[in-house]
Amino acid sequence: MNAQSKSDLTEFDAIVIGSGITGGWAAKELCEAGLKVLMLERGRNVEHIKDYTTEHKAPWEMQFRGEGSRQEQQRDYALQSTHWLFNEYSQQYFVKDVDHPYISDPEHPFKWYRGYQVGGRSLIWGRQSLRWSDLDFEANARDSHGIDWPIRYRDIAPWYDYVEDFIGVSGDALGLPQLPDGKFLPPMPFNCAEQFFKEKVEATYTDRVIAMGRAAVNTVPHRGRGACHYCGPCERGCSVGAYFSTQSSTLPAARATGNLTLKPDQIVESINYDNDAERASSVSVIDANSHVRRNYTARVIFLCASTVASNHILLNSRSESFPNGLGNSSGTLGHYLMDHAFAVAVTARFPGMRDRYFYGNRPNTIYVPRFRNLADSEQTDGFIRGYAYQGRAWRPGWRRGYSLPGFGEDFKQELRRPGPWVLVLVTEGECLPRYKNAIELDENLTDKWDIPQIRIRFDWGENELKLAEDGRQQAVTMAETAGCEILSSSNQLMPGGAGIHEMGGIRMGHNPDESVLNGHNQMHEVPNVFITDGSCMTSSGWTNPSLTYMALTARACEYAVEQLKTGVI
Amino acid sequence: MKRRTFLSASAVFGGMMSATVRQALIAVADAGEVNNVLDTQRRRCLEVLVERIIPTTDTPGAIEAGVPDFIELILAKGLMAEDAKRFIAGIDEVGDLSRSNYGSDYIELSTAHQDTILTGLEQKAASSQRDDATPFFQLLKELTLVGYYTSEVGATQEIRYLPVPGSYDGCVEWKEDDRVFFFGSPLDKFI
Repeated sequence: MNAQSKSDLTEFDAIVIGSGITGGWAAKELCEAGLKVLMLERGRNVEHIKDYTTEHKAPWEMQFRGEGSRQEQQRDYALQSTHWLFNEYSQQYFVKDVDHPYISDPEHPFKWYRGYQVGGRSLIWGRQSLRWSDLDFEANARDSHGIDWPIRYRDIAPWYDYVEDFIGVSGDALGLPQLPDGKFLPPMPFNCAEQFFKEKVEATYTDRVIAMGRAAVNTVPHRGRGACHYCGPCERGCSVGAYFSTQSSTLPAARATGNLTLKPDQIVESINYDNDAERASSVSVIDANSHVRRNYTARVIFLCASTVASNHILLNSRSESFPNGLGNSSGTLGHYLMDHAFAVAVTARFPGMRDRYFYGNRPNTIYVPRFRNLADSEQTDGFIRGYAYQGRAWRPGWRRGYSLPGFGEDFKQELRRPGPWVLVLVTEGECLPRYKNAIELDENLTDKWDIPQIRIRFDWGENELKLAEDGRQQAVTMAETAGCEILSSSNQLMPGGAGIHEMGGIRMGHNPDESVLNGHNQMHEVPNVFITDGSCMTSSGWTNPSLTYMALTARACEYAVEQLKTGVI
Repeated sequence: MKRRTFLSASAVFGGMMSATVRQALIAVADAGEVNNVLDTQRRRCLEVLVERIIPTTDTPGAIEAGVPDFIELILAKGLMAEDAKRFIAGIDEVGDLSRSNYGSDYIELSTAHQDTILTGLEQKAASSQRDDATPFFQLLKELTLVGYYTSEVGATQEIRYLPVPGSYDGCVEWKEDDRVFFFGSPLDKFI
C-alpha cells in the first residue's frame, strides 16, 4: 500500500492532541512538512491579542482590583488559586477545579496546576528555556536510578538550536559544560543588587556563576514578534508576542501552511487501537459543551496533552491487546512521575544601595546553575545529582506595608519609597524517578463527561530532602558572602506538582520491557503514536524542562514524517 | 450607601472631597455597584478607621480613594463568610473599646484616642499565633492598603503607575522625592 492510498482512508494525516507548548510545536512541524493536521484542544479558544482581555488593565478597572474574590476562588479554583501567579487577571487561563476533578491522596499530595485553553500553559509558563547536557542524559545510567535515556546530548543539540532560533531565547553564553550555550538574543540586564551579589559570589566561589535567566522573551524584535516592553505580568497574555506562546509563535506558523484544522472544546477520551493493523486507528473525542462523542482518524497521532493528561488518556485507552492502557505491556505507564523539588532557600536583605532603584519590570529571574556533583567522583553530603537556584533581587513596593508596623501619616509617607533591596533564592532540585510516584485510573469516580478520574500519588524521597537542605545552607552562605542579613531560610519542599514541571509516566527507553517510548518518542508497541510532552521524560534533570520538550517534539516530528514517507507507519 | 458616603465623608472632611471624586462616586452608584453589608454606624466607623491608616496628606486619603466602598464589596463578595464576620465583629469591638475606654463612639473620639485604640489592636494582632485566623487589625490594614494603592487615586497620585515602561534599567538613581512604582515584583507579598 502506498502512502497516497493510506492517506485516503483517514480524515487527516495527523492528529495532534493538545495545543500547549509541545502541541503547538507538533502542529507547526507536521503542517510545514505538508501533512493535513487536526489539532484537538479540550479547552476554549483563546485568540492572540483579542482574548487577552486583562492585559495592561489598571487594577481599578478590575472588579476585585486584580486580587480576585476568595469566595469565587474557594468555590471554583480551590487548588489553582494557591499558585502565586493566579490572580483576577490570570484566572481565565487556569482550569476551574470543580469542573475537572482528580483524586490526590492527602497523605501523598500532588498539586496539578492546569490551563485548559488553546495555548494551554504556554500562555502562563515561566519561560525559562535551558538546555540539558549529558550530565542529565547520562544520570540514570551513572547511578542506576531509573533507566538509561535512549538519547544523548548530541542527538538533541541540533534541535535545541532549531527551536531556540524559532522561539527567541534571551540569555548569556557562559561556557558551562553542565548548561550548554545556545543561540541567544541579548540577555536582560541585572539590577544593581543582583550585580553586587554576582560579583561577591563569583569572587568567593570558583564553582559558582550567577547568570541571567535564559528566557523565551524577546529582548529585540525577533521573527515578526515584538520586543518586551517590561510591563511585567506576562501571564495576562502579550499582544506584541514578546514571549513564546503557542498563540504568538507556533500557531501562526502552522496556520500559514493552510494545513491546520484547530478544534477547541474537544476532550480526548481515548486513543483507539486496531488489533489487526497493530496501529492506533482513531481518537475518541467528546465535545465539551454538547457532550456528543465522535471519532477522528489519522495516520499518525501526536499526544501532547501535558504530562498528567497524556498519562490519563493512555490509561483510559484500553483494548483487548492493551487492557492496562495503550502500549503498556511494560507495566510502567503512569509510574515514575516526577516534578522539580522547589524550596524557598533564602530571603535576605542587602545593606545599602538605597539611592538606587529599578525602572521597568523584568520578566526574568537570575539563575545559579548547578554546582554540586558535577564530576562522576563527586558526591556532596550523601546526595546524588543536584540543583539550581532561581531568584531575584528587588526593592519591594507598597505591599510591604502588610508587614510594616504602624499606620497613619508617617506610615503612608514611608510606603512612597521602595523597601530595602532584598534577595530571594529558590532551590530547584532534581527529582529521582520512583515507581511509587504514580498516576492511576480510578475504578469508580468519573467526571461530568463520564471519563474515569485519575488518582495521583506523590512523595519526595530522601535525596530531594538532602538537596533542599544543601540548597538552604549554600544559599545562606552565599547571601552572607554578599553581606546580606538573612530574613528566612528553608529546606521545606513545596508539594509535588507545585513546580509545574511534572514529568514522566510514559518514559522513553531502549527497551519495550521497561519503557513505553523509544528514542524518537514513538510508542514501542504502537508505532503511529508519538508522545512528546513532559510525560516522555526518563529523568527530571535539574533545569527547567520546556525547551527540551520542544526540541524532542521537533525531532520526533521529523522522524515521524520520514516514517510516513517511507511507508513504515 | 452612596448617600451615606457623602454624608459621612463630608461630615469628617468638610469640603475636602474633590468634585471629580464626587462625580466618580455618583457614577459608581449609578452603575449599581452597591454592597450594603454594614449598617450606618459600622460604615462610619470603618471610614474613620481606614482614614486613620491612610490619612489625607498632600495626597488624598483612604476615604477619597474609595476604600470603604472597596471593603464593603470585599465583605460582600470577596472574603469568605467567616472572615467577613470576623471583620464586622472587629468593627464592633472598636466601638465597644471606644465606649468603655473613652465613653464615646469611635468616630467621636480625638484622633489621638482613635490611634491609641488602633495601636492596641495592632499589638493584639502582633501577638496572635501563626495558625490563628488573620486578626481583625491585619485584615483591616491589608484591605485598606489594597483598596488604596489599587485605586486610581492611590496608584497614580500617591505612587507611580506606569503600565508600560517600555524598557528596563536595573540601576537608576533614586531621589528622595521619587515615588515607588505601583508594580513591584510578584514576590512582594512573600517578603
